Amino acid sequence: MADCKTMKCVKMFECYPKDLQYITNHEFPALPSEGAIIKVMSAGVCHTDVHMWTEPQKRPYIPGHEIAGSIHAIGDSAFNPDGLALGDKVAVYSLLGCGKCKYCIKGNASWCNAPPLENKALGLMTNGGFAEYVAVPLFAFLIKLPDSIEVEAAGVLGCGALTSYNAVQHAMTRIDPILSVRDRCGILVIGVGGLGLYAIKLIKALVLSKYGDRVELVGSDAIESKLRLASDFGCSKTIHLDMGCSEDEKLEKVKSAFHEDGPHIIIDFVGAKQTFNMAYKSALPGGVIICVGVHDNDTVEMELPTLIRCVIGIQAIYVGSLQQMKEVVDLVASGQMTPISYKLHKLSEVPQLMHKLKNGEIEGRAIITPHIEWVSNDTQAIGLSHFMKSDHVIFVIFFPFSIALYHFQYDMFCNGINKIHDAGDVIICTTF
Amino acid sequence: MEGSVCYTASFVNLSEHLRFPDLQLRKVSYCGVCHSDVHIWHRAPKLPIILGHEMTGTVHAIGNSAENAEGLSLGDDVLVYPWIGCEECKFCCAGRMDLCQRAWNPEMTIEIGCTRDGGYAEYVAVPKMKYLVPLPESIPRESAGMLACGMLTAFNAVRTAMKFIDDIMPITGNCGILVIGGGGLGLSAIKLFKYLVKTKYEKECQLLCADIAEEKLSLALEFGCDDVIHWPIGDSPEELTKKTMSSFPEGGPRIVLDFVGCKRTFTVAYKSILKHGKLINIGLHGDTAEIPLFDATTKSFGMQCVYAGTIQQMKELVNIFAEGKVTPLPYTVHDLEEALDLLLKLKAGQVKGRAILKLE
Repeated sequence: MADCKTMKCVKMFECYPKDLQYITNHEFPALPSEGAIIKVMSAGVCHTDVHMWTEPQKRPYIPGHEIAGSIHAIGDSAFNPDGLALGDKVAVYSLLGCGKCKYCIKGNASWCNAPPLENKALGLMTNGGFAEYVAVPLFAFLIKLPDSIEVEAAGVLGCGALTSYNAVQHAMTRIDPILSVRDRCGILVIGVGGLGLYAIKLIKALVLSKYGDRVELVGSDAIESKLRLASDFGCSKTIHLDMGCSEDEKLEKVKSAFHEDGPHIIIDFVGAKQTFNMAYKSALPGGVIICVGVHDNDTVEMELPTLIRCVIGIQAIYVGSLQQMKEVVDLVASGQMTPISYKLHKLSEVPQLMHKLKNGEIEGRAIITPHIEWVSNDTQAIGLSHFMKSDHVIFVIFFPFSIALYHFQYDMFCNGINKIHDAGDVIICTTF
Repeated sequence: MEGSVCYTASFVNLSEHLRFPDLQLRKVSYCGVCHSDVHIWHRAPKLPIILGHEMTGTVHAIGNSAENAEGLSLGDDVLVYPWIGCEECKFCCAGRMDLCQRAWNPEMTIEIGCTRDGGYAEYVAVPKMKYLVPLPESIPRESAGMLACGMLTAFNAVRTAMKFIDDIMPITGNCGILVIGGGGLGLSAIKLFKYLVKTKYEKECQLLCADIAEEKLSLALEFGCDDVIHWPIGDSPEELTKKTMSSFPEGGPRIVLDFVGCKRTFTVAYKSILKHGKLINIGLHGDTAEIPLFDATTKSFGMQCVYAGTIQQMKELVNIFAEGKVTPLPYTVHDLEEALDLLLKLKAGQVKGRAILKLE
């Protein structure tokens, strides 16, 4: 494997509606002297990929920025203070600006001042994780994964979970000041898709556990069926923002859901004109609106004097830093945060998946596993880690075509069996 | 909206006011003319009303059931905190009258100079003793009124900026600050930045001021700015953005304080601010502002509105001035009869420094 000259990948050559291309003999990435080459074991498909597909920009490139895998090769001048070794499982921090400034090299790419065309973000502007292998320019961007995190769940930590964590961290800075002048602090989450659900889990683990009843967490969405998970993961109340209701009716619903007649902290994962409007009209004095979602690139309007009279704050969030990603990995490792549901797919399925994601036909996260060939179109192999903590029955089907694959699956299977056996669940498997 | 603003109130009948046992009657010595008075004049929640909220004077009468924690006596020189809330809501009870939403309610009589008669008069009634702050002798009486509004709001804005600077410095090692508007508040902020921030971050913080009027910019330089930027009225936001960005060593400001608050100032502030920048909105000129969300997230744009200040902050400000660390803005003293004329001049941006009405 170490002498590979080519690899399989999915590359974007033209914009939507032209499909991405599945390539079996793409050039193998060059080893960056200060970085590493990662054997990709999981790459999440994110809505940003769809956005990049539909907007004009620099092409061609291999998408995929939610990457996790094992270390395949280490650059000669790589700075490796923690002594990571070949084969170690890592998650990749993929955010880069110019890649050279003091902000980029410290993992603070969101501060980089370079013009957009010089951006080197993996899987967005340069080759990323929809491939068997990916080059990571700086060794510091590899985060070692503890055994308690399954590698196929880890890739998504670098984008969705990271962005939500950044938003929640910001929200947390506002809670004590608010509780110093009010009995309770209300938090409204607008949009309970992937990111909204991560935020709810994080708020439950980091905020509700500390403040109890003094913080009210309310989730809201235009689609009623999504609210059930919001409730399960920690919201004390949910609000259906029915498309049929008038803006005033929705505003009334929001205000009445809170003990203090409104939320102090609003995290908007949708980012449409209407959601922003609702946010600033329902925010209580001294409150903050945290903008994460960017919907269809809406421009929002607000009346300055009204905002000023209510002493409102607004904070827009962009992914997160390397340090924050490490903290997210720790939270998942310690069990304080569990990943949301995902399904595994083959690399060759990416072109169709992009269409499906664009049309809103994917539930949970779609994760590509370039090195697991046995995942067929008819069989959904569900990540073992997701069910570690549940009572579900698992069907696992093996296609041991090669020794290497077999060992990989066997290890995973054994780990899985042991953990589930302890929890008392049932596992049924068939081998071909 | 043209209102009937009664600004020649003469002697107030004492017996009327003693009906409210907590009221304190103060003989007003000086009252500042603030741009907010122009705003209130145009959008008056309640009419008729006596304007004026930057007042210094002496205690003239104390109500029967007044709680006098500061131990004030008749004849004591005091500064009035005018941002009185409704006293009932949770914000007021927690000492945050700036967050009280009833203060502008025309059905109520609350904020002095807004819904309650204020200082363009020889006497003013103050509902509670706690709103009177004793004035140390070292502070000149004429200009002390500014500490209750202009300087107080500027102080609140500067303090807000300072928290952001502390967060930013460890990451960037540098911070460019832009003050938009070289009027009373902008100039107050510059003086405060010079004392509170430039002493600590002499080289690492660059303090700049932008204004449409060049005469105001010369004052800004005098009070402590490293540089100034002229924003001529005819220039487009794009031209101003380019000019502003190139005036800063990092390619733009990281913190902007907008003491004007119109569409143009907001637009230039938003476009020129750097990543993870913080825009502090104070000016109540009154416009809608637009934010393109996708762009705002890639910039990690942040915004914080500031309104007035707390009584605690006002006391801190009085101490800073008492020690002589910061000096008041230049001001001119006028008779009460000139009030209307001054309001018109202020609206047209023709007042340099602060105009003070002498009531004694």
